[in-house]
Amino acid sequence: MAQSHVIIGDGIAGSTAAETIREESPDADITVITDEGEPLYNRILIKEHAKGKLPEAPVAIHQENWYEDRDIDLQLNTFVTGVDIDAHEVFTHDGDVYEYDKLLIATGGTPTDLKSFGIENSDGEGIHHFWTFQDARDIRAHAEEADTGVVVGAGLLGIDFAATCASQDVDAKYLMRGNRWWRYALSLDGAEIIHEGLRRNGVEPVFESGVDRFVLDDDGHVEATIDANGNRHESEFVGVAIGLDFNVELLEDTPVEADSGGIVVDEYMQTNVDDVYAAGDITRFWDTIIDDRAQNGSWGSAKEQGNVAARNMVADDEEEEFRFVSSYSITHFEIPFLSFGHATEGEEYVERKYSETEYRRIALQDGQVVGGVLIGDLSPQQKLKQCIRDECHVGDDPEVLLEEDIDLDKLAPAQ
Amino acid sequence: MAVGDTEGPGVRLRETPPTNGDRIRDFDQLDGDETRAFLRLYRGEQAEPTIDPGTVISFTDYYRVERR
Repeated sequence: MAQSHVIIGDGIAGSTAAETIREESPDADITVITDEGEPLYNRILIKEHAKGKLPEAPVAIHQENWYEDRDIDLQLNTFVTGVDIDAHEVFTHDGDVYEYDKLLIATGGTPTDLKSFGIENSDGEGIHHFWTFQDARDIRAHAEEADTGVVVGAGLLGIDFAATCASQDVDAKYLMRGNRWWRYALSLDGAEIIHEGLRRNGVEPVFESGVDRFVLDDDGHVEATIDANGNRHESEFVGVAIGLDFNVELLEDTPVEADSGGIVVDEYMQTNVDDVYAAGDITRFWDTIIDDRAQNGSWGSAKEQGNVAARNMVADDEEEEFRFVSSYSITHFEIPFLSFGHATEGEEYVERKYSETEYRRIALQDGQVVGGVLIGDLSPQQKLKQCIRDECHVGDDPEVLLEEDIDLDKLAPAQ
Repeated sequence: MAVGDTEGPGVRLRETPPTNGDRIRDFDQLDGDETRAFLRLYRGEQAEPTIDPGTVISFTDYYRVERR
């Protein structure tokens, strides 16, 4: 008898899972539930739309007929309010109940709000978070009109706001805690390449800073940001990217192991509860490469997790293991930048700055490459990712990883 | 960066502003073979046509893959 699969979330993880289930099980009932008002779109490209570089059409990936053609029941604008694990039922805000044999949770995250840190006026008009295509539309429309801006969040998502300001000619300040951008992955040498790119494009980094409060006008619209040092920065436009809170509220009254940090799954994307799986940004998965729990927010990782989860759901078995080296690129300001693997999880690091525009940093654990960052020349990414996959050891000379042309034969096999 | 400067068969990259009708993929959406090929082309080297001609890749700019 055909199984019933319910997938919560229509990002790349959920959508890939639906597609894979259909391929593997032509008779399965498949329902995809999403709180968004549109089907799968290219979440990587929405920043290009915000920057004004890309029209809307190329950002869309699926139209609703894609789901119809595959007999996948797509429920847009639908919020899941709870799950009954024992009854195998999913409840939605409009009173519907979806029964499942297998459930996949791919709900991703929601940007963290400064309100949760008690920042005054953080809900003012003109203060943006960036996650959805609709967010990108709103950001684009506002940035096109704004003259001044502030960006908060010195990481991989915050830089998209900075690039939007640059592209839309918003005179912006980028407030950073610490003395550099993405301080958990880059030394000052590497970060300076990004700082120079920001400055060249009209965005001024402000170090050892942060937000103290926002100043709103009489209409409740942001007009300035007061930073942690008491300095006032005129800002009609504010972009906040300080992290993600994972959407696990629907699991509150269930025994599924989950908290605001995500949902715990094994390498088969299975949770601690039978018939319940999770995939995508929301998972804290078991990484068989580093033998540790990990989390990753890249498109490729989410897609592969959806694929693996789906195969295991259909097989009702641990058929396929998730084993993947992720990568995440940033290509703003004419600077190729790639983070791969677990770039911030090293116990030790080796790095080299080859020129004013080229840099490499490798993260190591117990002599094994676990991740890194490339700026400028991204061609070493293939060998470095292979090195991670193969769990090769660098022995006493990790500097071999910094050679222009890495010779993997100089590295020891997995130990 | 020398895009499209190489001789010989295969494909090349051409910087191009994107349009509504383009099939656009981000660099992060390329698989391993496609990534290697794209980076070779981006450096001005020859590469096998592992990316469908006509595809536009979003990288530091937008690059259309074209047959030579």
